Amino acid sequence: MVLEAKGLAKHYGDFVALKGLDLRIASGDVFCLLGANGAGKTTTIQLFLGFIQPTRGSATIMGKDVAKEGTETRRYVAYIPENVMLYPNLTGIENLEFFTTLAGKNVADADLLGFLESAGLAREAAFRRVGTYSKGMRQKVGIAMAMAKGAVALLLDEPTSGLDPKASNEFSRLLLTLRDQGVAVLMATHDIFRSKEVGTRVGIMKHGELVATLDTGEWSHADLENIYLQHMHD
Amino acid sequence: MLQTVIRVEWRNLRRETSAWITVSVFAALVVWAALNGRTHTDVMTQSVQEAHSEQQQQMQQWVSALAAGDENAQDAYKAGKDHVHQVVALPLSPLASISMGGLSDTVLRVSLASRLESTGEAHVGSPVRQATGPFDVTFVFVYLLPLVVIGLSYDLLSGERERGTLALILSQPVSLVTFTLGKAIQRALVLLGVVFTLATVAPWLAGGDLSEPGAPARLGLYLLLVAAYTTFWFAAAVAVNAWGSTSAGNALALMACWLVLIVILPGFVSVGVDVVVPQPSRIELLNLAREAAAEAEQEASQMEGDHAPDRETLKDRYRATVKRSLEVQQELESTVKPVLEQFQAQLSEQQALVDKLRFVSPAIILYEGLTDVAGVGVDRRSWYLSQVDRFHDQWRSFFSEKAANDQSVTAADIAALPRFHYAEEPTGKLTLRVMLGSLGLVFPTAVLLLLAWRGLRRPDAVSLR
Amino acid sequence: MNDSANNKVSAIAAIIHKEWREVVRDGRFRFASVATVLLLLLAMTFGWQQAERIHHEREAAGDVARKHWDHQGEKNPHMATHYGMYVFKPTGSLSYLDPGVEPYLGVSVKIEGHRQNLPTHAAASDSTAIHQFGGLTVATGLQWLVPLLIIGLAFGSWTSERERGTLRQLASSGLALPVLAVGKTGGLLAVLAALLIPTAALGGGVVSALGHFGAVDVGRIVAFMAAYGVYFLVFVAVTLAISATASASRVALVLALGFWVTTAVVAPRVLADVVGAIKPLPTAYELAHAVAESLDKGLPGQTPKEERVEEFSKELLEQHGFLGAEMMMPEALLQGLELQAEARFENEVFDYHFGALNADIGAQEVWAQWLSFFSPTLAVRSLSMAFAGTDHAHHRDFFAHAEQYRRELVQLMDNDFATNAGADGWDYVAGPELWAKAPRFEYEPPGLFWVLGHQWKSVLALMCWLVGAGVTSWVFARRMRVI
Repeated sequence: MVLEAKGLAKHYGDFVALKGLDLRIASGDVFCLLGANGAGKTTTIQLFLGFIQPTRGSATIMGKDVAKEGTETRRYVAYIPENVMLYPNLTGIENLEFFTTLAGKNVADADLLGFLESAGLAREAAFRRVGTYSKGMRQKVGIAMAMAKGAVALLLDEPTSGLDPKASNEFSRLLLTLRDQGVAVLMATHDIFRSKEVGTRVGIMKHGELVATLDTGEWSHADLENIYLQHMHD
Repeated sequence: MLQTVIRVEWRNLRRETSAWITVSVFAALVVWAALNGRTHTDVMTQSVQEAHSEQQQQMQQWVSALAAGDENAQDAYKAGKDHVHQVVALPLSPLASISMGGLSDTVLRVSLASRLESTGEAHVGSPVRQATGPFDVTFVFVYLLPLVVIGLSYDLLSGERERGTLALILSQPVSLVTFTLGKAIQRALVLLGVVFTLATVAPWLAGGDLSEPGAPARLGLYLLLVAAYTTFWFAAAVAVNAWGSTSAGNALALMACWLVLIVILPGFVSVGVDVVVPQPSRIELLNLAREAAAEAEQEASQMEGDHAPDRETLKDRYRATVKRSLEVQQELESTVKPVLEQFQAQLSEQQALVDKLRFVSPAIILYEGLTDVAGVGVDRRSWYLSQVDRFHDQWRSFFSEKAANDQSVTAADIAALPRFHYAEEPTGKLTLRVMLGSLGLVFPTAVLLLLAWRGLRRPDAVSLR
Repeated sequence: MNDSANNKVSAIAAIIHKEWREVVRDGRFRFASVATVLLLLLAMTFGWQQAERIHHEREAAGDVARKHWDHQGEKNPHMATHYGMYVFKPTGSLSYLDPGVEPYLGVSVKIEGHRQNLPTHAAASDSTAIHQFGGLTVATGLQWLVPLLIIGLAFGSWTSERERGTLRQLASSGLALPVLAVGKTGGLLAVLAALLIPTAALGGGVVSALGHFGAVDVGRIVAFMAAYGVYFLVFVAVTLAISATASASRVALVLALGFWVTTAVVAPRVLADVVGAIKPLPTAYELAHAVAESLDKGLPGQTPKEERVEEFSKELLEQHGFLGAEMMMPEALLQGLELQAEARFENEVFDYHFGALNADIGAQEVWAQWLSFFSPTLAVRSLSMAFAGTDHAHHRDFFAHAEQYRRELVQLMDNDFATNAGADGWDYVAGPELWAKAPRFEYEPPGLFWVLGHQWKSVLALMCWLVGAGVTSWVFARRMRVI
C-alpha cells in the first residue's frame, strides 16, 4: 500500500478537524476527496506531509509512519498545492533543479528540461524567471518536480481551482499519465466532474469524517453529484 | 543538501535589487565615515604640531634671551611661569580615525602653574555637532550595521512562508532546521563578507599608519568586535524568524530589539551611572580651588608687575613674594590635590560601573570596545595622564627648586630640562579588556542560536499558518 | 451643510471610531504605548531631577563666587578686576525636557580685567564614554520613540486593508479614498492624543508636585508641544502615504522604517558634518593664538596696538577735558585713564574674535535650520532646543550679558581708581564698600517671540513638511490601487 491512514485524527483544542480516518491508496489509484471547506481535506493532506502532527492514529507512506520518519517518507511524495509558489527571481529550470536536489536527486539539465516539456511547459519559458509565469505554468513546474523526483505518491490540494478550462484539462491529462505509470494520488478537490474523469475512487468528507467512498466506474457523473449534495444537506 | 540551499540562496540574493541597494548605501556611509575620521585626525595632528612649534619657538626665544644674559629669562620663577612651557600630547593610535568621540582634552600645556590651570582649557567646537555625536566609523557600526543585518534577514523564513515556497520545500525530504541552517549560513557569509571588506577598507581609507607596532593587534581586535556584533544581530534575526510569524511582525520585533539595545538600555545605563555615582561637578571643584587659591591669586595679582611704580625697591619685595608664591602654590597643590584625586576617583568609579553594565547591551560593548581599540578610551587616557602628572612634577620641581634657592637658570641647564616621553600602554592590557567585552557578544549570540534551534524544532514550527 | 458634506463628516467620524477600536484592541499596540508612556515619564522625572540638581549647584556656586568677591580684602580696584569673579549661567526652567547643547557648553564665565573669557566647565567634559549614547531625555523620546510608535501603528493602514480585502468594500461604499485618508489620520491622531496629552499632564503634575524652579513659561511650553504635535502629524501623513503606495504590508513597514532611519538617525549626524564643512570653526588652539596675537599687535589689518590705545586715551582725555594738559593731571587719574584706554582696546579685540566665533556658530545654526527642509527631525530638534532655552542662541545671549556685565564691572573699578586714588597712585586701596557696589549678576532668558524670530526657518521647514506630507498622502490615497 502506498498511502495509508489508520484511525487518523487531528484536534485543535476542542475543535476536531479530522476524526479517525481510515484510508488505503494503492499504486495507480487516484483517490479524490470531496467536501465543503473545513471538512478536513487539507488537514488529511498536511498530515500525510507531516506539516502537522496527528492527535491519534497514523498516516503511513510505503509502510513508514509519517509522524516518526517524516523526512524519509517525504522522499516518496510530491506535493502540489492550489497555488504552486516558486522563487520569482529564479528561472523555471533553476527552481526545478533546486527542488529536485532538495529531494535528493541529481538530475542533468537536459533531463530537467525534458520533464518540464513533458509537463507541457514551452522550452523558452523554462529559461524565463518564474515571476513572469501564470498560475498554470507554475502548476506545470509542480508536475515536473513530481516527475523528476520519481514520486510514488502525489498529494494534491485543489490543484485545478483557479485554472482556466484549458489549463485544467491539460492538468487532468498529465495526472492520468502519471496514474498510468503507477503513481498513487490523493487529491482534495471541489470539482466533481474532474473527480469522475481522473479518479478511480471518490471519498466524500463532512465534519472531519469520510461519510462515503464510491468507485467512479460504478456511478455516472449525475449520480455522483446527487450523492454528494445529499450528504451535504443532511 | 546544505550546499544546494546555499547556492540557490546566493542566486536569489544576487537578483534582489533591494539587497544591492541596502549594501551599497551602507558601503557609502562607511566610506563617508572613514573619510570624516581622516579629516578629524588630520586636524588633531595639525593642532598638536602647531602647539609644538609654538612651544619650540618660545623655547628658542628663551634660549637666546638666556644667551644674551637677560635677567628676566634667568629668573627661575619668571622663566617657569612666563617664558617656557611644554606641550604634551597623547599620540594618535593607528586606528584613531574610527572613533571621533570623546577625548579631546589630551593636548596639555605643562608649566610651573598648578595642575588645575593646566587641565581646564576652554573648549571650542560646534556644540551642535558634539550634542549630535560625530558621524564616524564607530557610529556606522554601532547604530547602522544592525539595521543592515535586520534588513537582509528579517524575512529569512517568514518570507518563504508568505511566498508559499516553504510548503514545497517542506514537502521534500529536508528538515526545517537543515533548510534554515543553509539559508542562514549563506546570509551570514554574505553579511560577514560585506562587513569584513568594509571594516578593513575603513581604517585604510581613514589613513591611519597601519605599519606601526601594535597596529595589527588593534586591527585584529577591531575586526573581531565588528564580526561578533554582526553575528549577534544575525542570530537575533534567525531567532525571531524561528519563533515569529509574519515578515512585518518580525521586522517590528527586530526594530524593537534595536531600539531597546541601542537607544533605551544605553540611555538607562548613562542615566543610571549618574544616579549611582553622581557626576562630579567641576563647578564645586572650581570654588574649592578658588578658596584655596584666593591667597595665591592675590599674591599673583600683586605680581602683575607692569603696574608697580617703584622698580628700585622692588627687588627685595620681589624675592619675598616669589618665595611666598611658591609656598602658597605648594599649599594650593596640597589642598586641591585630594579634591582632584577624589574627582578622578569618581570618574573612574563611573567607568568601572559602565564596564560592568556594558554587558546589558551589545551596543555598549561594541562602542566601548571600538573606543578602546581606537586609543581614545578612558583607560588609555588615564594611563597617559598619570605619566603627564609625573612629568608635571618633574618640570615644576626643576624650576621651583631653583627659584626657592635663588639660583638662576643658565644655558647649561637647558640640556637638563625634563622631557616628556609617552610610553604606550601594553597591547596585552587592551587585548584583555576587549576580549572580556567580546565574551558579552559571544554569549548572547550562543543563547540566541540555541533559542532559534529550539524554535525550529518545535512540532508546530513547520505549520504554515 | 448639504447632504453630501454631512455624509462625508459622518463617514470620517465612523472611520476614526473604527481605527481607534482596531488599534486599542491590538495587544502589541497596548504594550508599546504603555512602554512609550512609561519611558517618557521616567525621562521627564529624571531630567527634572538632573536639572534641579544643576540649578541648585549653580545657584550655590554663584553665591560662593560672589562671597569670594565681597571678601577679597582691601586692594587696589584695578587689582580687584584681576582677581575677578565667576558668574554662572542659570538653568533654563524647561531644560528638563530637552537639555539640547547645554551639556556641551560652558556654564561659568570668569569676569576679569583685560580678558574676555570663554565659558568653561561644560558638564560633558566630565563624563564617561557611555554618555556619548545620550541619556534618555524627553526630547529623544519624542523625536525617536513616538515616530516609531506611529510607524508601528500606521504602516499597515492601507496595505492590510487591501490584504484582507476590506479595502474593496470601503472603496465600494461610495466614499472617495482621500476622504478615508482623512478619517485614518484622524483616528491615529486621536490615539496619539489619548496617549500623550494625559502623559504631558501627568508629567507636568509630577514636576510641579516636586517643585518647579524658575518661572513657568506657559508660552514656551505650548510652543514646545505644538512643534511636536506638527512633527507627529508629519509622521502620520508620511506613513499613510507610504502605506498607500506599497505593494504589501512588509514593504510599507520597511520603507517607513527606512524613512525614519534616514531622517531621525542619519540626517542629524550628516547635517552636523555638512554644517561644519560649510562654516568651519577654528580650533580652541587657533582661537587662543589669534586672540593673543591681536592683543599683542593689534587687530589683523588694522591700526597697530600702540596707536589704537593712543587714540582711545586721547578720546578719554578729551572727555575728561585734559587733552593736551596731561602734565596737570593727578598721576593716578592719568594711569586710570590709560588703563581704561587699554581695556577699550582689549574689548575691541575680544569683540572682534569672539564676535567672529559666535557669528560662525550662529551661521552654523542658521544653516542647520535651512537644512532641516531635508528632515522633519532636524526642524523639530532646532525648535525643541530653542523653546526649552537650551540652544546656542540662548547661550550667546547669556554670553553677551556676561560680557556686558564684565565691562560694567571693570569700568566701575577703574573709575573708582581714577577718581579716588589721588596721590596714592597704585598704593590706593579700596575695601568691601566698593566691592559691594558691584551689582549682582542677573540673567533672564529672552521671551518666546525672540525665539520665534530666531527659529522662523525651522517653523517654515516643519510646516513645509506638514503640507508636503499631507498632500502626498492625499494624492497617493487617491491613486491607490484597491485590489
